[in-house]
Amino acid sequence: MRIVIAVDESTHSQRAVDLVQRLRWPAGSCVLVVTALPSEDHSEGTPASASRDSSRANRGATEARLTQVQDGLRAIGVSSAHRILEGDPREALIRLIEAEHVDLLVLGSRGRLGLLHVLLGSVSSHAVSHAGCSVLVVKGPFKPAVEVLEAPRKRAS
Amino acid sequence: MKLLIGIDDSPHSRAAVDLVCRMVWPSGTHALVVSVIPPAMPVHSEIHGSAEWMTRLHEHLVREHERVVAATEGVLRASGIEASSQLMHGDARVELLDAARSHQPDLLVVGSHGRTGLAKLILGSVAHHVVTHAECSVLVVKVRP
Repeated sequence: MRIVIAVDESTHSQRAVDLVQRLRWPAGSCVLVVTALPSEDHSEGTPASASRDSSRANRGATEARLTQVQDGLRAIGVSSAHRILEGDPREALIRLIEAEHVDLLVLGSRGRLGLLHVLLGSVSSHAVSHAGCSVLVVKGPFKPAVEVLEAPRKRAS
Repeated sequence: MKLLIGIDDSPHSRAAVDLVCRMVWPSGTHALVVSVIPPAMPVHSEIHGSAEWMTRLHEHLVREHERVVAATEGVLRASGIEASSQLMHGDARVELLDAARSHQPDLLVVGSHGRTGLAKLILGSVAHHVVTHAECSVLVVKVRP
């Protein structure tokens, strides 16, 4: 199964990551961990060099976050890769899903752009409608995936 | 883990059940299969006359839904997922959210388009409604063209 998980710094996104890492996936599954960079600060008065530095720092932090998610996936024996989306994250996500023949997109219900759509985040809402693949929207309040998924295992052991 | 799967007799719905079967769930996962019987349309009652006809139509609908949920339960059990089912009456959008409120599933699964409705819509009305309003996580399953 080819899975894409969209991550950012939101708690909904963290819940999505938890869920993907706690489920077991069919043999041969591959997860592509994707994110979009925060929009850059082009406000007047910011020296170009400072803007470049901040952009580099952003990219570094983003790469670190993606690598952290991949480490979690490696720990459960799932192969993964990561990608940073350029441009409008909504469009870029849909294009990636087509190009990579993705079976399932997993994302949190409200990410950074959440204020645009009160009930369902802008990216999630767009993806559910426009993605050619199945979409799992992870919402809160959500019982922590750890509790939900570990409980049966604990009982079994 | 508790799953609630809203189904009807449509290709998207079958794809939803297929995907649930392909995924590997924690042991002890239980799936509640819900199918919603729409109200019989009284619009044609004058043409076709009797209340008896309406009753027969309704009984036929119930039997069809029972057949579909029973088949779905069988498919899920064959994949090692415990399953039970419930038939509901009314508007699928309202009833599925009601079922989600009373059963508190971890995940609600629906096909992207139902048996009725316009195929040209980018997302069926039931899928759109539940993914927007359900409090729990929602998996919208699509058939690849």
